[in-house]
Amino acid sequence: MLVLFLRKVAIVSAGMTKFGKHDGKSLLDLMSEAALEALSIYDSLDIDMLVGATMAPELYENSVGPINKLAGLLGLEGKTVLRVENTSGSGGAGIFVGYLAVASGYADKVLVVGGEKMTSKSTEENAYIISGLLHDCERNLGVTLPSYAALLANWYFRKYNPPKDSLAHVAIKNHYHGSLNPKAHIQKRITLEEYFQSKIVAEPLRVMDYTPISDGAASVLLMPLDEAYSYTNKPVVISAVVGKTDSFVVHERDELDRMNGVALSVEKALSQAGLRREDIDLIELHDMATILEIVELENMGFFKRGEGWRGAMEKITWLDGELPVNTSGGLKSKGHPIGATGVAQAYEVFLQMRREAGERQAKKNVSRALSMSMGGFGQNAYTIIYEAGW
Amino acid sequence: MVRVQVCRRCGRINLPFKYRCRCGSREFDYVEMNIEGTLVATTKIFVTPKGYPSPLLAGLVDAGDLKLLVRLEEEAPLGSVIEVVQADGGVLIGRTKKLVMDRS
Repeated sequence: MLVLFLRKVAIVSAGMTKFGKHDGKSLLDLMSEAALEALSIYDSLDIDMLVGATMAPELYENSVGPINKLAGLLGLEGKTVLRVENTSGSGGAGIFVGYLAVASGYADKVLVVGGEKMTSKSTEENAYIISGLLHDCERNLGVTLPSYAALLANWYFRKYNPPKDSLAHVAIKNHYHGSLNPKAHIQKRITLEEYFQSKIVAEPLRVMDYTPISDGAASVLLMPLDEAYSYTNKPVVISAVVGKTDSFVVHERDELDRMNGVALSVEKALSQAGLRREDIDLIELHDMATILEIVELENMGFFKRGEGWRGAMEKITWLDGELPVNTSGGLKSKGHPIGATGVAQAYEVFLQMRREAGERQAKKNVSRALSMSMGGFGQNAYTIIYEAGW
Repeated sequence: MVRVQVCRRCGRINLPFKYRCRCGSREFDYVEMNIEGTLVATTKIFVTPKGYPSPLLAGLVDAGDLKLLVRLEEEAPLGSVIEVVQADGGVLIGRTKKLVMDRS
């Protein structure tokens, strides 16, 4: 495929609310807060387009058409406004749309905002809402996405026989990273003992294997790279955004640990950006459960099959390691307000590249990074490749 | 017995059914099949969605031509032979036909 006349696209600024429980704030309050942070680089900035990513405000808040409302709250009359939805990968899909709008020349300044307000519903109600993204044949059994992670962990341990505490080390690492992130939902380190004392949710996975239920929002402001330099001397270039699907029904996959959508989106994004895996300095990925961080790293090709667990256990994926993964704390510790997550990954990369990540700043220089935002259990994955624009 | 969809062009067995096969075909036959396979993954779910019993046993059954996620009637170790039947409403139930000793 020959791509002609695509403009280079850059992130000029980014914003994020604290993730956590925000009583008294609506989804639109949170999305507005994140949007205003990104827009604070220049007060009277004339935005051409707003892309909003959120999964289910219809169910969480009985709110329909949320992004039209957000446009009104942000004074964006006379602009192009739309909502993008890809369940838990909505944020990545939102950036895809914003990227295309700028790259194609349709718009010069695009604000992408992702958010979800979840904590007003109980855990059981959340499980019910989120189970709605599965096929009826799966949902009617009573399984949920966390159950799939448990099946995968059960399968993975039998097939590869990794150390018994390998999942715990992913949780310990991401909680350590999250403890250094002032915007993370759970800023608390955990020990091996605490991990093994936490309750079983679905065997063999425990409370400490899963992301909490969070409220929050994140934003990025996109512009053509040449215009970006008028606003910042450190624009973060988006070199590629690629979305790819997997079988929607999980049991149709060749093996439980094959996430073909994730693998294809990473492969194509790297090839579009003209980069190799060894060029990537940092990764933000979708650790809805600890086992997913391991299996995603394998499907992305950064570890061999059955060896992804080495990342956390051998300190490769820690802040000061060779390939830091989820320096934000990941979904596990930072939280996972569904529509916000993919955009929050870009926010983290933006800070890390500019060396503005404070206490959780990666030790190594981050000049190229990758984020992967996926819907459901990898049904629809968006990979973004970033490069320092200075 | 389980009712499955078989693609007339590529022979792929679909469950759940599709309107269009991966090969592009829209022509299907529908047949009742005996489905037996090996339990390749299992979990006991304690936190279930509103309206579902807890704990709930789920398993992935590999029947060669297709894999199916089922609700297990009883706990069974990996490697057990499971017969899949369809309950009212299409829910797939896994019945243990042959228990094997768990090697783990």
